[in-house]
Amino acid sequence: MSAHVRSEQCLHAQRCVQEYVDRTLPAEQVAIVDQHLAVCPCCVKCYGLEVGVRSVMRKACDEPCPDALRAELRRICDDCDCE
Amino acid sequence: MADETAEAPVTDPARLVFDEQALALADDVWRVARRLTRDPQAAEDLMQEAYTRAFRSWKQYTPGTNLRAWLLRIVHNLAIDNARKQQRQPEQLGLEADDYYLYDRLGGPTVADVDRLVERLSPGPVLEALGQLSLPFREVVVLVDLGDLSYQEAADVLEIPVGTVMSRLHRGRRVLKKALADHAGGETA
Ligand SMILES: [Zn+2]
Ligand SMILES: [Zn+2]
Repeated sequence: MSAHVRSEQCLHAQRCVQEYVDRTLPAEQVAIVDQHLAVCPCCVKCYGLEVGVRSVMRKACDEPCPDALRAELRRICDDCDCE
Repeated sequence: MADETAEAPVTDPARLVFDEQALALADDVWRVARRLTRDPQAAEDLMQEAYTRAFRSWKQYTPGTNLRAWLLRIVHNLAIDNARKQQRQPEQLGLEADDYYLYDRLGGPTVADVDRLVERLSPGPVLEALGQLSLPFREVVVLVDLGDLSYQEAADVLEIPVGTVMSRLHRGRRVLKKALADHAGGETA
């Protein structure tokens, strides 16, 4: 366990990480977090991990719809005559 | 009276527009369906069910609104039905992890090069952890992170409050981060 001190600003940054990464954090809060990230390597790492998990997952799940299934969906579409 | 139905039905042009837009979203819907099911075959079945239902009820879609969200709502409803049939254990998150544990696990408080960190992380453990999340948590992560829905859109699809979307997202991602951190921390000195 690393024993470095977690400041109030660190705790604030932690509370904001999800909304920050999802771009739903209000602008004035973003500014506060950015100021803190400029001086806190620990929180930079936290934010990196938050971004990282998302991009790793997106990359891993980026498989296209199989062609045979796509053709089947087209057939389902053509067969459906619901008005 | 007998001649009344003699004319061949003419397809509504709006229906044609709907068809093409819905089919064009197949990749997006597939990404979500694939992660809500155990294997590719189950995902294909889910897709076919979902599109069958979508084409049948196309008139319930309001043009100009988010068609991806509309389709994903159908996928969600079917996935829930299937889960019920299989009587899966509801609401069980799995491991909990303190955020700071993760960062400690990745080494001391030094600046991490984010790109290099991501490069070092392999998808296997994340996909595995994602597959092990219980459906309520997995759905939120999948809809927001893979389906590109906003918190509000995900809340509408799942019929839960936005605050619940955010807390499930937070807790779900935390499990994934732990899987990543354990993996990354374990393979490097
Ligand atoms: Zn900090
Ligand atoms: Zn810190």
